[in-house]
Amino acid sequence: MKFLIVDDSKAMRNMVQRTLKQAGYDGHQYEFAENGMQALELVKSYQPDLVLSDWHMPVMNGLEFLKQVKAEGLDVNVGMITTEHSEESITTALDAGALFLVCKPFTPEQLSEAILSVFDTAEESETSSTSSYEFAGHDRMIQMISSVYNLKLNAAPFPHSKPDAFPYMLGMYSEAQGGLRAMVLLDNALACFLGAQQTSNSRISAYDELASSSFSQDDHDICTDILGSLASLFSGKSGEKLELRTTHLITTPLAKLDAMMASPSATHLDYMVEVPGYGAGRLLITTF
Amino acid sequence: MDVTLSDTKLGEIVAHSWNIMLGIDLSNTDTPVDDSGNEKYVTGCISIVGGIKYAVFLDCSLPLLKHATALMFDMGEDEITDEELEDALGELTNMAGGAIQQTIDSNSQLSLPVVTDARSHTLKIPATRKLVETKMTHDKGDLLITLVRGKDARKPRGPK
Repeated sequence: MKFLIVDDSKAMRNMVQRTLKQAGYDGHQYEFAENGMQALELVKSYQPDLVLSDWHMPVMNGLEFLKQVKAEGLDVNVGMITTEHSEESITTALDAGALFLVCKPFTPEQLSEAILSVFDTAEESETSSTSSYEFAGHDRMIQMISSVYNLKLNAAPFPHSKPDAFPYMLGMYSEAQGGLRAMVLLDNALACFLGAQQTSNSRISAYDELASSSFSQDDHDICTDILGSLASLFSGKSGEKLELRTTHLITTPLAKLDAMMASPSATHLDYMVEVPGYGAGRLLITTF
Repeated sequence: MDVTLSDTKLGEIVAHSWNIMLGIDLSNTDTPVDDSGNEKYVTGCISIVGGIKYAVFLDCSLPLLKHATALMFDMGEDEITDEELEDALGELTNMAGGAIQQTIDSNSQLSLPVVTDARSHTLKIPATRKLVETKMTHDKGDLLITLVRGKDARKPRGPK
């Protein structure tokens, strides 16, 4: 995913990027602009998936930038990160085309939830073609993961339930140009066991990590790899494959995410996956 | 009518911003402000303009500001330039102003922040009076937070 962070304060640009990384957007692409004018140029040349813009900036402020994006017919998602809190300001920004407003100061969870809302919107805008994507099936999934990662995995279907332990890793899948079509969630237990196995760490260290609810960089990397590989298992009726658009480290309950999972168009395929010699964790698949 | 905002609440609002964005825990202190000039302070100021004009001052001791700036830029305190110190305090003042604005007058407008390397008692906004002030501390240094408001316009004299 390509982010463009727009703020006249270098300190704030740095902090927004750091918070995004804390929210699970590590390993994504980042570009920066000091004002709306620079941002406009970068929207055209860099073509970001999401612009996060301040409101008050010299040369061209965030609101003027939004209006110019609309006037030029540029197809880009824009969210505002600002000290503007008033209802009037929020309405003004949303009317001008902002998808969300995050008020400073903000937490990684608040930023993550706001970004998830971008995908929610994409889903809502394409309800006519929901449920047109299918999952290839758990046998193929296990075969694929086992062969790619040289793992021996056993999976068993598991009754669907909301994720109840944090943190966990979430992958969101869509067509090249389209709304959200599938989500895959790897819970912390599965991440810890996979991470430990891949790095030849002991089972005890995996359980210690799990007990402390931590999520190591190794866990993050293996989960990101697996989520990327799983994209090939989703295919549409016309054979079009999905792409992994974003990965998120979810650290607290998010109302938006719960609502997406409870959507009437959602179909769930949930598994208990065993990493031999370590333990079992959950892999939850939701398609729309 | 003056806004009701205690010194404790003023401190809490600013401490919340610093904690969320920087992980810095500020706590209240009753220690008097050091006016001797021995400790260097940097001041940020932002105006809140609505039905009544307010301004927020952050007087931050240099060691604390360096610590905050280093966290904001992910760099060592000895690598920080004056420009980065000003940038960081400007943004901290902006955030404090936004949070205080939300509490006292959400329909007002926030100005752009101003930063000076002088102590607040040499940076003054004419025709204002102090509403509330609180001092916060951290093992790196102190932060003095002051909220002032514009004086009411003089009422025209009516007939005796």
